[in-house]
Amino acid sequence: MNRLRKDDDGGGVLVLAVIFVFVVGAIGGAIATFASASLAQTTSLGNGATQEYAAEGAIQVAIQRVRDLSTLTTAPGYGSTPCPTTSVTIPATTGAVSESLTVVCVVGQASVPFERKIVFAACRGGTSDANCLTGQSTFTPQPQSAALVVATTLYYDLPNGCTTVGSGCDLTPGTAVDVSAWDASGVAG
Amino acid sequence: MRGARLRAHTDDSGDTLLEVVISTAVIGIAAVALIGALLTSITASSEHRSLTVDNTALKSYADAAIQQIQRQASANWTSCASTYTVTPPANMPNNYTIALSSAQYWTASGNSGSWSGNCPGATAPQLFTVTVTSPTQVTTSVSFVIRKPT
Repeated sequence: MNRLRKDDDGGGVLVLAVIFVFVVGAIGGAIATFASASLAQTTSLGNGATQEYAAEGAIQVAIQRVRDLSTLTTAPGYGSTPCPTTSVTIPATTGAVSESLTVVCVVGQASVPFERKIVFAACRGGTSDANCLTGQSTFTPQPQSAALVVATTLYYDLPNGCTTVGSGCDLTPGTAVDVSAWDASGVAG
Repeated sequence: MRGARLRAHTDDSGDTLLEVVISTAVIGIAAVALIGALLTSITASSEHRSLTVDNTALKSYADAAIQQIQRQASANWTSCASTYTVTPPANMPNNYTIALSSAQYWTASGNSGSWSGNCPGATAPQLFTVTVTSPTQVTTSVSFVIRKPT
C-alpha cells in the first residue's frame, strides 16, 4: 500500500501550481513595470518640454538685453566689452516648477562687417560660466556639457539696406537680430 | 487480471479535497493578481494617453503663439501688450480648454531682474503662460517668453 502511494502522481499538482504562480507573477510584474516606466517617461518628457521653454525664454531675455546695449561703449563685440551673463527665473505654474537659469553669451567671429555673431547658452542657475559656454577672450564660442539650450544669433548694426557707415547709415548696434540656430540637445527627456 | 484492474482503480482515485482546495486558492490568487495588473495597466495607459494629449496640446498652442507673436514676418508683437489673440493650430483636441495668461514684463536689475505686471519700457520681454484643461479637469501649463522681433 505504501509503495503504491510513493509511485503515484499525487505531488505533481503542487509543482504545476508553483510554476503557474511564477509565470503569472512574472507576467503581472512585467505589465506593471512597463506601465510604470511608460508613465515616468511621459512625465519626464513633459518636464523636459517645460525646461526647454524656460531655457529658450531666458535666452530671449538675454538676447534683448544685449540688443539694448546699443552704444559703441556698451555693445559686446565693440572695444573690449564682454558679453554679459544674465540670470533669469521663470516662475512656477500649474504642474511646472520654477526654473532658475543662467545665460552666458560669447561674441564670435562674424563674416560680414557690421554684423555680430553672438552665441547664447542657457544653463541651470548656479552653473559657472566656464561650465556653460567658453571662448569669451578668443571669440570662439564653445558650449559646454552643462548647456541646456544654445542659440546662435546675428546682430545687425546698420539699418536695413545699408552696407557701410555714412550717407544716412548710422552705426546703431542691435538694430535687428536674428536667431540662426537653436540647439536644445542638452535638455533631458 | 482481477488484481491489475484493482490496482488501476486505486491509482485513478483522484486528488484529495485538500489538494483541490489549495489548487483552487492558488489559481484564484494568481488570477486576481493578473486581473489587477491588467486593470492597472489599462488605467496607466489611459493616464498616459491623457498626459500625452495634454503635452501635445500645450506645446502646439505655445508654439503657435510664439510663431504668431514674434517669429512670423508680420508678427503681432506690441510693446507692453497685456495679451494677444492667438489663432489655435489646426487639429487641437476636442473638449480641451486652452487659455493664454496676461503678460508679465521683465525688468532688468544688474545681471538679473524680475517679472511683474508693470511694463518698464517698450522693448521689455513679455512672459505668458498657456494653461490647458482636459475634459477630466486635469490642468497643465507652460510658460514662454516673447521678445521684440527683428
